[in-house]
Amino acid sequence: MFKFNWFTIGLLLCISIFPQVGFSQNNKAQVALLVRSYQDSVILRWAPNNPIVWKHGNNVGYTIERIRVRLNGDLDTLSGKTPILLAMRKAWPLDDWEPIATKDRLAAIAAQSLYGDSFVVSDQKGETSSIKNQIDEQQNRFSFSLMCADQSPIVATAMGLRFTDATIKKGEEYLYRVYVTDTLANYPIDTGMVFINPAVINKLPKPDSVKIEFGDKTAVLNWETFYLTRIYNNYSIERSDDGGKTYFQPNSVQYIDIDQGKSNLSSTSYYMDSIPVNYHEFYYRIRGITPFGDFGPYSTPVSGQGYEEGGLYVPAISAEINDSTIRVVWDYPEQFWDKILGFNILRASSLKSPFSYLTNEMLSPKTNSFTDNNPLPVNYYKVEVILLNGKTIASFEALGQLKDDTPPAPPSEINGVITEDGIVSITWKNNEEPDLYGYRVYRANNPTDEFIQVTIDAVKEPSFKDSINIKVLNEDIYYKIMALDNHFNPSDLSIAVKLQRPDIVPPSAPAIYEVKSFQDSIRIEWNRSSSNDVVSYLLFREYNQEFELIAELDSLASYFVDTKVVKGETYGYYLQAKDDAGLTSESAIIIADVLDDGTRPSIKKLKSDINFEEKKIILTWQYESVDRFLIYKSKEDSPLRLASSVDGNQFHFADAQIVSGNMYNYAVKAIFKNGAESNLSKPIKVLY
Amino acid sequence: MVRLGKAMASQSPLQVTLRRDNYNIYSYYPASNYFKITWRSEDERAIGIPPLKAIRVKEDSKATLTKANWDISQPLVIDGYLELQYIMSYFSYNDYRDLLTKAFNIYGANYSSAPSGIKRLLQTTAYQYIYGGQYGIKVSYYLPGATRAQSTVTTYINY
Repeated sequence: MFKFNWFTIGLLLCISIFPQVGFSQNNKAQVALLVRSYQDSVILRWAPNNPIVWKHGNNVGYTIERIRVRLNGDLDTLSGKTPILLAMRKAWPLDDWEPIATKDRLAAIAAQSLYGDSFVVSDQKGETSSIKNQIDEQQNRFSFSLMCADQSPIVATAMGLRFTDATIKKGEEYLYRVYVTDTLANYPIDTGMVFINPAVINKLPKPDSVKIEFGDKTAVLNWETFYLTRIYNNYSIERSDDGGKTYFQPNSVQYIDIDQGKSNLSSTSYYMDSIPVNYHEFYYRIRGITPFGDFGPYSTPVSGQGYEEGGLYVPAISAEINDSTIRVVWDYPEQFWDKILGFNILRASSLKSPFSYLTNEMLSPKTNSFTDNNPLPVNYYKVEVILLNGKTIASFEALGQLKDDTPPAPPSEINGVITEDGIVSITWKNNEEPDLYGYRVYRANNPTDEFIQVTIDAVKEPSFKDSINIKVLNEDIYYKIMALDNHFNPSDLSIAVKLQRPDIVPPSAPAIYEVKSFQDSIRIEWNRSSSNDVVSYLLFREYNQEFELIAELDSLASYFVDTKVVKGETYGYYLQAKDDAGLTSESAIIIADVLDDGTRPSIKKLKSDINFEEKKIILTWQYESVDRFLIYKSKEDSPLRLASSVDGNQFHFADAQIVSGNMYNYAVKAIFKNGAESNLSKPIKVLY
Repeated sequence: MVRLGKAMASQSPLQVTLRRDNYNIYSYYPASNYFKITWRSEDERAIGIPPLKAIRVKEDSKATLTKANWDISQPLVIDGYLELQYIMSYFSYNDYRDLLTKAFNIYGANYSSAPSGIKRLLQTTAYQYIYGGQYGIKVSYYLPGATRAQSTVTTYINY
């Protein structure tokens, strides 16, 4: 029997345990099937997808069926047929393997996996590694046998996993089915099936996006395999040492796509080759190999040169400051001088800025310094090493700054806002000094207070966010900004910017402390709100359960005299303080009565008229409605006496108790429902 | 300048139709429990049916985001390129092949008994790629775990 060592099949150990390209990823036990048309025949390749199916298939074999489903492009509706049994295939018996196993290493491995008493993979020292020991032997047999079938058509045939249908006819399209010939108890195994139009022969694609990276006597190829995953499972990698004239396989073992069949949308394959010498152009090309044993077209060749490790030496660099120049110094070991073409010096004003070349011509490999005669205030230098193959290696950056005791200008154009949750956003104009390091932000509640720094580290951008308490009495908060340069020279503090806190606190309430009642007015006095953002006071009066704004007063007002009141009536008052944000607070309601001495204004417009026909003197007057009016009368110089009364809604009186030739005096008094009464009106004289 | 990270494409207006009678394999999907797409790998199932999220991301940099990028919610800014490939056709073609094989397996010998949706699938003679034209796309960049897009690009695919 065969026994393999690590050296022989090292690469095979890397394969996936489900190496069948293009077969379904369904986890159900199944026979996976691929077909490919060759114009006059169709080749079928199938594979069990787990060791159980594999072992059962080896025992009972596989049945291959075909159904004609289309004829000359139309559905084959006439046949109504049963599938045609094309063949039954089974792994060859052990004796039949002998001729091919002795010639073909893959056949030997496959035979060992099928019939070997043991299937042990050992390393070069003949010791079984712990990792390999962990792999189940049955799994190994399954994996290695299928791997060999994928790489060798004859092995696939010998394993009963390949069939050529040479009985196809022009114009016919088929559905092929392959299944294990006998069922396995309590273990359903899905049939493999594929529809094919043999007239359609798909061209095999060439590997795309092939890239190569060279190192010290190494070359790493990578190429995209996503679209190829279901077409190729092996790749042949060839190298040319003579400028692309002739190619050969640098390794006797073909590259096996270890991730094939496991597409993850970003599949890329890698292959590393050892090259005999550096600084020599090597060409590589790749082509895929299908599970049918077909080779695809070659990729476009890629080429390059390896370079020695010594060329990778990264120079140590420093910058020496003189009065007005900066000398860049580096070291590069003499043993590497003949490995490089020279140096270039690059400079940038900051690490984020692009580097530009200071050297117009490459410096020789023996050079170890360069003087920058026109340095910037801040300089970042790099030394670039040019290798013999044209590739470059750059040093780390070295900072060079001339002496600087000039501070940056104070920041300006500071603006900011405060949100209702106390987040302060401040921005300012970016300083233009090239050596600017950053900014510090300072804060105070009053412009005359000491400003306290609120930045922990200097901020690099001209903006800052702060968080403050806004439920405080201070309406405003002040910020100043300081700029720093790379020498930490501080600028003067900027002019303070005043930011107003969002006013979410209403003003303190005013307090009415005194109400004075008069006959014709009520005087209300109050203590003003203690909040200094009050802009006005609004006085409301309540009468008959309705409130009415009767006065809007300025923030300094402390009293108000309400003259639009009625004697004896009761009123309620409250005062509202309003701040500049429109927030308000209100005093308690106080009740006040207007004093009432029972007197009312006298009737002013008492007039008279004489109706000679009816022999009456007619009195008229104007007044508000009252309970009643009393009419007083006298003749000549006698005193006035009550003569009559009329209803309070009647504003006239006719006196028929008169005698011609007499002088009469009249006056009227109003009597109110609450008992109050007006003074007697000014008497009028009427001659009848 | 390329910002690396997760790329997501919004739903596209693409429709997959097949020649002859504008047959859409997804409008009948799944015709039954048996007629399900099974050829895709586990990763590929996430692109959806129809495969509107069939996007591949290729980049030429091996740079990776660091914790600092996350802490300050700032993407990694490097030189290089990032290529997005919209490969819906690749998946819809293979979906078509998968479903057609299943349809022939069940009804290939007895076409007349096939449900109408399956019958129409059997009548198709070739896969038709999506119609040519200009398709609008929107690509948004999200830092891992972020819910807000760092940047968004709206452009067109000329197919």
